[in-house]
Amino acid sequence: MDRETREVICILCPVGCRITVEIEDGEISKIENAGCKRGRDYAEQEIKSPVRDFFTTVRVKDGKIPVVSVRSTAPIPKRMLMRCASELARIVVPAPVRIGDVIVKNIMNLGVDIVATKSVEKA
Amino acid sequence: MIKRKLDIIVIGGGAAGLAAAIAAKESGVNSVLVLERNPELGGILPQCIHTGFGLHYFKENLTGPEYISRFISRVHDLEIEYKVETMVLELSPRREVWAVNQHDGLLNLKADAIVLAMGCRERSRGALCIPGTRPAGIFTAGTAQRLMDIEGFLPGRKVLILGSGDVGLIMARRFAMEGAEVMGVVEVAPYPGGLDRNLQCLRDFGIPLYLRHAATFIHGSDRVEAVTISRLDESGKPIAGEEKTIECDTLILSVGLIPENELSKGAGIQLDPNTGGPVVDENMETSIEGVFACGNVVHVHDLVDHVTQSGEVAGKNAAKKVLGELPPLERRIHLRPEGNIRYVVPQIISGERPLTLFSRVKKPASNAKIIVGEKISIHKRIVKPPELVTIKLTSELLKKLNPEKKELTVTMEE
Ligand SMILES: Cc1cc2nc3c(=O)[nH]c(=O)nc-3n(C[C@H](O)[C@H](O)[C@H](O)COP(=O)(O)OP(=O)(O)OC[C@H]3O[C@@H](n4cnc5c(N)ncnc54)[C@H](O)[C@@H]3O)c2cc1C
Ligand code: SF4
Repeated sequence: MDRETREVICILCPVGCRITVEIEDGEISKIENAGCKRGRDYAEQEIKSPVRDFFTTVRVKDGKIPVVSVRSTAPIPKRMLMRCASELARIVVPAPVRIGDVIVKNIMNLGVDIVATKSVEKA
Repeated sequence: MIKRKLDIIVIGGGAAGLAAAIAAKESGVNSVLVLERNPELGGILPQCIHTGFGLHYFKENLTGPEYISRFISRVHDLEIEYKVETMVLELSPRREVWAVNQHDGLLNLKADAIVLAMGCRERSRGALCIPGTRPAGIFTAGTAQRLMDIEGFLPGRKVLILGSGDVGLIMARRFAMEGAEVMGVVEVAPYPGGLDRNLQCLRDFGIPLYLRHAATFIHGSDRVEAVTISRLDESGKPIAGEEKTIECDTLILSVGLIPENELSKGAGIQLDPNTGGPVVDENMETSIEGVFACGNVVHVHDLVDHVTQSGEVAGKNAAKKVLGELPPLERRIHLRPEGNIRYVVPQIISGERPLTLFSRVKKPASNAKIIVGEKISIHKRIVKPPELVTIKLTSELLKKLNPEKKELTVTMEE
């Protein structure tokens, strides 16, 4: 039997519980030291399929500034962060860009869009 | 030279300044002018492209640029006048402001109320004490952030970060996301300086955190080539033989923020040595009548939501001052931090109206009691230095105060 213990620091409230999760043969067998139910759920998600907010910058052509900040419309799987970043590193958008403009629709088929978080005027 | 008289001048166009200007205008004051030295409004936020802003104020998880754009739109809707690329050079105790920009030249402005909202600046001294060479490749975190996220330029490929405060942790993740190799984060304290949620930045990318370590030597002739770090003993001295030399081309300094108060000092405003910012009363008024202060210029905040709220209080009261509706405080009770309490803001309260005090602790503690005066006791499950502690004084609690007291201590019992 394959057994592993992992620690998840809960970020949902300032207490910051150090939650321990025991995993047996790839399945969660025990969750300990969570201060509340929300924390338990968070720890479970962190082990099963962690997600993160995604944000970076994208190059802008002929803009007042050379890059525009962007984010994903919802969190994406953690393991896709770097792949989405490399995908966006290849893109150049023409100025002007408006806050909320969709820069990439349904990035890497994750069901989320990449949108601009600020406006960049034409130079 | 241009001479003008206004109702309210706001110095600094960041989150604090914009909230103050909006609140002042909404309170019915017409001539409000915001002065900002950067080419755009927003202060530090346009370069904070990560999420985590507005969770309290808007109940939404916004990025820095999104958060501040809501206030910038409001400034435009309310037709609040502002001047960017305008540097304020001097403030006089008689509420006269000297500023300069390319378009107007020298400006001599006077107002019935002034709001100080200059934010804070980064310490860079940390680096000066480190022995070794002075090669290129040493940046403060804020400068690196601006280079990456506004100017679109990656300042280094192999990076070591000094300081584990929020700014340092967030920059570690930002560099990693851009494909740079982050060699580690070095922290002199035995615990990290940033919020728990930001420690995730390191764990997600497997970035080592060296607690109780300091940089002790910088190597490299033209560009940084390596940095030696040493383990520290209990008293904070490097332990001989416990060094490690880390190869890197860039050193990022994130060793603390200090309120930006050159103007305040020049005007003779009383500063609090514990915060580095002006002493303010519950109206956010400083020791000079008609001069108010808010945001990071008062004390360094970890959440922008609190910055916005303090801006609103300052702006509203500045407006009342102009309209002749701000009576002096009934009583001026001075709050004095003691024990594990590093500071308390506002430093002066009347005890007449409910309010929230903001405080920072020196060391982490759990199941602590914050004691205000002799009789007010507020339980806190956990307190940590990176997190502002809020102390809510309700009308019920205020009744317990002794009205004769001119000074009250704020302390902590564990
Ligand atoms: C890297 C980083 C990450 C952060 N992350 C978060 C987060 O995740 N969530 C969160 O809620 N908060 C976060 N914060 C905190 C929050 O963003 C700040 O506390 C807040 O934006 C400060 O606003 P301010 O208006 O007081 O100061 P600033 O934004 O610094 O604005 C001050 C302005 O005054 C101007 N100024 C100064 N002196 C003069 C002068 N003499 N003449 C003219 N103009 C002048 C400056 O140019 C500047 O624009 C973060 C802060 C940093 C630095
Ligand atoms: S588990 Fe519950 S109590 Fe503990 S940090 Fe998470 S939310 Fe807070």
